[in-house]
Amino acid sequence: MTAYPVIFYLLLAALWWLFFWAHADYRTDLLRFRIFVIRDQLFGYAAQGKIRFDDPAYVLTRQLLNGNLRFAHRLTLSNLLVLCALQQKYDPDSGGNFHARLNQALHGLELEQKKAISDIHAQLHHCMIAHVANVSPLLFPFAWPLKMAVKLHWLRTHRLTKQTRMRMEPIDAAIYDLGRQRDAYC
Amino acid sequence: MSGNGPKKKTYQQLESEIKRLKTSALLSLFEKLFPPLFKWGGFVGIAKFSADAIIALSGKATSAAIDVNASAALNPGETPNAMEACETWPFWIAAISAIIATAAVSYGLNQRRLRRMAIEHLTPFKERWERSIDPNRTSSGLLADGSTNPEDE
Repeated sequence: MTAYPVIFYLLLAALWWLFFWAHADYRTDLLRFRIFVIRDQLFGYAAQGKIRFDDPAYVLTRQLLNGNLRFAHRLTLSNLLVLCALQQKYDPDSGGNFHARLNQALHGLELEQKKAISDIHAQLHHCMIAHVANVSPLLFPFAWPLKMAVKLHWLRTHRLTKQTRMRMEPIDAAIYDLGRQRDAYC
Repeated sequence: MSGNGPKKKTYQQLESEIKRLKTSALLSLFEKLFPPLFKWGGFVGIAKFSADAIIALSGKATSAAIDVNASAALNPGETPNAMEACETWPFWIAAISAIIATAAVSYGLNQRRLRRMAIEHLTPFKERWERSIDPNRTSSGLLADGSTNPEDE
């Protein structure tokens, strides 16, 4: 007779494991796969001779992508909130500095090159937001309705990413710094 | 010292570097403490509620009411052999569900292992090709199978 509550709690534990381990690992792998696709797109663009491999914009974007690949497992809502709070307190200029560095890197580029690099940054932000929404237990229930809204064209992703771009800059700055800490040439 | 040595950092540069390192260290501390506490704390909470429920229900008359309600929920409608259905249905449903769930999880884990093996097999070719075009190609720092580097955990 006491079997029902035991089964219920066992199933609850299984669900907990599925969400916080199996699902989180899957989402991290999915995020990494998507970033690898974006990085290949950037590499392909440079391999076609459309941008130099040593161009500051290419190097900065590649380092940002590498940082994201390396620390994708640490991209969670709680970490982002704490990161934003710490940056507000200790390093409030980091977002602005990164923005200035990016603008400086984009300065000498042609319009088409700027568009390609900006598009890569937008794609990266879209992937990061989707990941955070899917691995957070608070945002997860809203992730699917949001995805459906985007699929049904009720929401436009480029407008969303444009709005969140300024808010993402401090996060980009932190990830870029982390990615630069051990920039393995191999 | 001659002018050829490494350039000395200014006070502002050092200050900003210290701020960055402080942010990074505090974030790292939070990441090492909070997520494992939350994840494993969930299991501890579930175990505690489970133990409480077992203690509260063992040998009590209330358990009979739960059983009747659960059986009624699984067997809606008034069939002539309702009692027989009550005895057989829940067991088979639970057994088949458990088998499907275990098989599905094991399938998923095996697929993940296979994908990592495929990545480990194919990545060197891609790296070699990319390095032939860009000798200064930078790496993500992940392991060969695409998983997190233990240094970054």
